[in-house]
Amino acid sequence: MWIYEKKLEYPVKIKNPNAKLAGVIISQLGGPDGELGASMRYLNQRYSVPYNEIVGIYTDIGTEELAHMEIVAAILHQLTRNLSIEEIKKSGFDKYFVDHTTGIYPQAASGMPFSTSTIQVTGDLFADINENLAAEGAIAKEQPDITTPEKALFYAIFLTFRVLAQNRRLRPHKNNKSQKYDRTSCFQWKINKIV
Amino acid sequence: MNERECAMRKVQMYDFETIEANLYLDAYPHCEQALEYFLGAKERSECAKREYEKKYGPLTANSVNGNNGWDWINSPWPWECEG
Repeated sequence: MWIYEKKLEYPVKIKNPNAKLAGVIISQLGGPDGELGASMRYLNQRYSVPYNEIVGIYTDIGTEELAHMEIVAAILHQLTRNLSIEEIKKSGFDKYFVDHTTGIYPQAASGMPFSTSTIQVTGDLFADINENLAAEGAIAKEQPDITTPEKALFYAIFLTFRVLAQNRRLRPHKNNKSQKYDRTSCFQWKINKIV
Repeated sequence: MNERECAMRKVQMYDFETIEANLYLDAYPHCEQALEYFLGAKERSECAKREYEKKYGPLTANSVNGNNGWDWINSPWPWECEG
């Protein structure tokens, strides 16, 4: 289960509101490689993982991604403070504003609402790890210069990326005597446990 | 129910109490009776958690004490307790 702590993982204090920027950063919340998707990926993939090390990592990273969601939401909230109608129109924020005003709605910058169609759970350890690496890699790639908390976020994601990359080189599967990775071994391992 | 399951059931029971009192107080923050109930439940819950963790390992990563290494990732995970 989960417990909420009344603090941000990293402080957010934005001096100048910027609606245009908010319209882009919203993708980090509810976009195809955003924090909500990341959290859902890790927390739902962990059940089929046969290694305690990785179950622990997925549990803790999935939890941390929820904290990242809150950081991004705080950034969006502060970027959209005290906007005038003129600013809203000029910045292109009007398309978001008409439906959500300055509330925080998890969507991509394109306007697509958050969707689990941007994530996958295969039940296969290596397929899922590769999916996570792809999502983390998409975020970790070069980003335009933005705010300090965002940089801290990217740093955390980089660390995640490295932990995952190391896991890919983990010892062969417990049940796989040929020492080679077998695509169905994880799934099979679970089946064997039940039957 | 074995001893471990009994200890866990206590944690769940007292934690459930605490959570419900918490939700009630969110809506009625000035209810003194509820506040008193919450404080009692919180104490019962903390006591049950201490008891459980002493015998069976950490319930949160932050309660790892180092005596048994990094035992946070040890089995069983909550969804593995079948039957």
